[in-house]
Amino acid sequence: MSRWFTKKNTLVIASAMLAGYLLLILTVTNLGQNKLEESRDNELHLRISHYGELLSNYFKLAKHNSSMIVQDKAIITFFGNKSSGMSMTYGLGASLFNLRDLINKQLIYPQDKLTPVFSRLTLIELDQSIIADSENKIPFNYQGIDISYFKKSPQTLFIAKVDDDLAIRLSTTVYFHNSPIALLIAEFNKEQIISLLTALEYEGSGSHITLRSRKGDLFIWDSLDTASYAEKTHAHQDLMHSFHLKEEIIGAPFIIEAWFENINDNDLFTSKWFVVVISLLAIPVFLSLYYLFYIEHKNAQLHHQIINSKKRRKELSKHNTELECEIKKRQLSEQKLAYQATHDSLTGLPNRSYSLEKLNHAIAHSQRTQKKVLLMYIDLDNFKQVNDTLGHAAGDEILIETSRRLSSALRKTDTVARLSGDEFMVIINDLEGYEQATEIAFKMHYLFDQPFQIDKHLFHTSSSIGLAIYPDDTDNAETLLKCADMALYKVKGNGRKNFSFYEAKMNDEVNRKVAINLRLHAAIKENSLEMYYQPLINLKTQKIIGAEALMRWTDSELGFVPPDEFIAIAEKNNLIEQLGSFALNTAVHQAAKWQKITPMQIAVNFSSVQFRNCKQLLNDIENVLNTSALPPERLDVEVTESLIINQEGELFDMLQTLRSMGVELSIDDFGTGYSALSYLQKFAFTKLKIDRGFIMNLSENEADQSLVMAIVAMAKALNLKVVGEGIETKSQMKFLNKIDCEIGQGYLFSKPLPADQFEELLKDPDAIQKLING
Amino acid sequence: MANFKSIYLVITLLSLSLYSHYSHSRDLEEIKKSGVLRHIGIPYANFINIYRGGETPIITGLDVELMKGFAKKLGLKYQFVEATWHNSMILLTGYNAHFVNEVVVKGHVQHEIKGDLLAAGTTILPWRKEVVDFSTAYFPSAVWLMARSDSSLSPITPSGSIKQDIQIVKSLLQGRKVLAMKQTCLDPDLYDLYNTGAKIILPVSERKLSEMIPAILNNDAELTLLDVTDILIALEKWPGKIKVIGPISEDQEMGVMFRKDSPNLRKAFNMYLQEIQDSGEYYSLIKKYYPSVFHFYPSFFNEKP
Repeated sequence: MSRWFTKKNTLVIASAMLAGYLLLILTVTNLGQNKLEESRDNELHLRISHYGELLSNYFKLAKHNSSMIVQDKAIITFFGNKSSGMSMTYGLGASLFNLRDLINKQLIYPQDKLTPVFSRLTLIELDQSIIADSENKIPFNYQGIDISYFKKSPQTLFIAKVDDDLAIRLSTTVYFHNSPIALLIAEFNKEQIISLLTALEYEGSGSHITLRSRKGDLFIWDSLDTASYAEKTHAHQDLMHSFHLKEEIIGAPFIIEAWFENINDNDLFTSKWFVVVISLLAIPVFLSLYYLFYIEHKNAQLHHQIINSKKRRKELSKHNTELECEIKKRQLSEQKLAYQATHDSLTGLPNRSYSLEKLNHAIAHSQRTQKKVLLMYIDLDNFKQVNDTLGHAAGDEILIETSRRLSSALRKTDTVARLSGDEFMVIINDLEGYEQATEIAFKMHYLFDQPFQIDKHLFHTSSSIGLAIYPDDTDNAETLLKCADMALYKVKGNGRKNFSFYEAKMNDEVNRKVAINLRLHAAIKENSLEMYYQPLINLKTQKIIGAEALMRWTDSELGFVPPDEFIAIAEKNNLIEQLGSFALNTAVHQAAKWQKITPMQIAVNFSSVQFRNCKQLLNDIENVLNTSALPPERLDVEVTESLIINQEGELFDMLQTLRSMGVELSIDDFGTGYSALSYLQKFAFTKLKIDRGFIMNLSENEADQSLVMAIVAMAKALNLKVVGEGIETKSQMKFLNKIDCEIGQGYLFSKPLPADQFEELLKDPDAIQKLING
Repeated sequence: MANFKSIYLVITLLSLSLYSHYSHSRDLEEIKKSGVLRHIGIPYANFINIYRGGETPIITGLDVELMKGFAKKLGLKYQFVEATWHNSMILLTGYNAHFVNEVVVKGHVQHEIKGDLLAAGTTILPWRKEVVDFSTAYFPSAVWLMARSDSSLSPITPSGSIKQDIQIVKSLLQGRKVLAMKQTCLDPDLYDLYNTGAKIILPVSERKLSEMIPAILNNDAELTLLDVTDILIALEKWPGKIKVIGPISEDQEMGVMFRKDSPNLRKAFNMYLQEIQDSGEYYSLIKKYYPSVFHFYPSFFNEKP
């Protein structure tokens, strides 16, 4: 709807309507003109016939009126009294008075507006004497009065010429006892007749009316545009006044004759002129409409352009805003990225790369100021334990708190950075010397004396700090970092919770480890590793019942390398599985051979690292037992307590499998680890080896004695065999024997021996006895 | 006739013996104090008309309007006291009075006075003047002899002299039955009718003057006396049925009756009458009730209607 209701459409519709309207006016005008003429003719005919009717009714009314008068009581009384012979003096005078009063009253109407019907009333006796006359001054004119004729009929309307004028009169006969006794002559009021016949005429109505009779004409009205009133009584025969009408009066000897002006000559617009004017009027109207249309068209174009331009501006503005927003976002994102690239997301501290950059800056700065730079490597002790027990969220809390403590303890010019995990780095600029460095180290160290609050828990931790100084320890940033790292490593190695400055020998230790690693690889390749065997002695019989296989490595370059040293390195460098495999195969095959000499059990040590892949280890054990044909019960798998802690599931299943195969299980170094004795029940161990630490001071230390006794008692209760390790003296042996410790191992009996030497020992049944006593 | 006379005599005597003291006459001052003007009236012609159609009678007429105007002039309330020709004098004066055998017989018994004046088209007669005072004459009158139209008597031809005309009329009465009424203007004693040889018929019961024509139309008598004012009405009422034979009396005049001890009231009325005659109001009233009377008595009404 609204789509169509536009200005343009409105204009078009308006134009069409206007054109239609003009056409309609022209048509209607033409039709109207014709109808007007027709209706005018009809109207005039109607008017004249109306006049005729009016006049006819008027006469009828007058006749009725007159007949009513002659029947009035006053007239009857008068003639009654008169006929009874009463004299005027005594009675008749009163009747005459009333009669005259009646007649006079006919000419006076109570309503002033009405003109009396009659202008004169005269009551005459049949002998022509006048009884009563409404007019006293002008004598009654008997012209046209024929009493003998009139008395024959009740009423006669007649016209008489009186003094060159027409008099219209009505004679009404008065009867007394049914005989005509008098005549009432009533003369019509001509003014009344004229007013009736001009009821619808007005000045400018363009008409002429005459009342015609045989006795003469009565001029009624003329409003035709004639030269003079001299023509009053003449007919208007010219073309200008050609419309002529006649009407007879019923009940009276009259004809109304009227002339009317021709309608075409009246001051009405002829249709021709009207058409011309309307047509001319149409021209400016159409021109203005066209102009309006033209303006509207231009306006619409302009309007459209403005709207488009506004729209485009709006779009551009929107686009600009979006761009600005995007730029801002990108800037923020870049800043964020830059920040993230250089800072640790958790603590907000500079990260490793950024801190190195800072370190370089600090070194460059110190070169200019001839001052020193202190680099500190700080590691939180037991952080892994926090993560494991309280969760990573708690660990994060500690890291954040640590960074806060470190930052607040230092100057603004110093740098605190988080390198990774629980490792922090601190760079101290403008260091005066070693003493200041020590002070700072203490200060840092004591920062961790206060416990950390995590939720409702208080958590105690400590720090290990490694320190290195530029330019004392090195002349470049990278090495300085390594120095500090080494110092830290040393602190950690020494039991943590301390700080240490870098020393040059630290570098040598590192170098040795690297060398061991390299050589160990080579040794595995070259098969230069050896297995030694230390006998396990039945303390009661003092016979060899088994041996513990121990790995020995003597490198061509490094010489003898202690097993603790190279095994730790092998564990770290993924060489342990190869070493373990070598030990298992060698020892089992060797033991299988030795079974021919005497039945014996071979104990093989397994690193906890080896148990990471339980299935593989189980396969290896099964394979070696199969290939060597050593009875499973002759194999003793030795593990440390640390393997058991927090390990369940797969390891448990594996150990159960081994036990079901018949393989025996021993706990090595019992009493040194985190002993939760419940595992002794849980896992199906067969042996328990008391650590050499308890045995060492057994002779002197009563506490140790009590402990060993308790361990043995416990083992017995749990149906475990007990091995005493590191027996070096007879008294130790005796004590153990006394408390029912079944098996012993140590230098008292034999040091670990190469296979061939051990075989010799095995072949001599008294060899052990000799050694003890020897 | 003698019976009537003796009856009146007895009544008069009784009246004289029953003298009482409760008559209460009052003049203008007392009337003004009382605030009411009491008009004694007798239904008669167009002077007093009483129409008893509704709950309260409608009282109109020339005298009623005249007295109402007078009361209004005095600033008094108007009160109408209806009377008959017989008791009217008592109501006005408190005493009875009769004209018997050309002698005025006055009663001595005092009755209560019920009105202050009497206006009922009463003719100013000499005997009445002995008893009461009259105002200035305010209406003309006369008494004529009327007959049914079928009567053998013909109207006289006026001789030009009223006295001669009366003689002619009286001469026609020999042996004829003539209806008359005592105590009114139609009292036969007033016109010495007993000496004309006429048979005077007085109504047995009290009758109104307007009932005289119906009486002769009813053949109670051939002729009747009638005052002109009633004649004017009768002629219009029964046109052709009755006829005027001729005059019985000379021209008479009517006046309002006052007690003799109310001179101030009378004076006040005369002044009022003069006022309304001067203003033309009086003529309008006459015209209203007796339009044709001007024709008969142009000299009485100085002004032409």
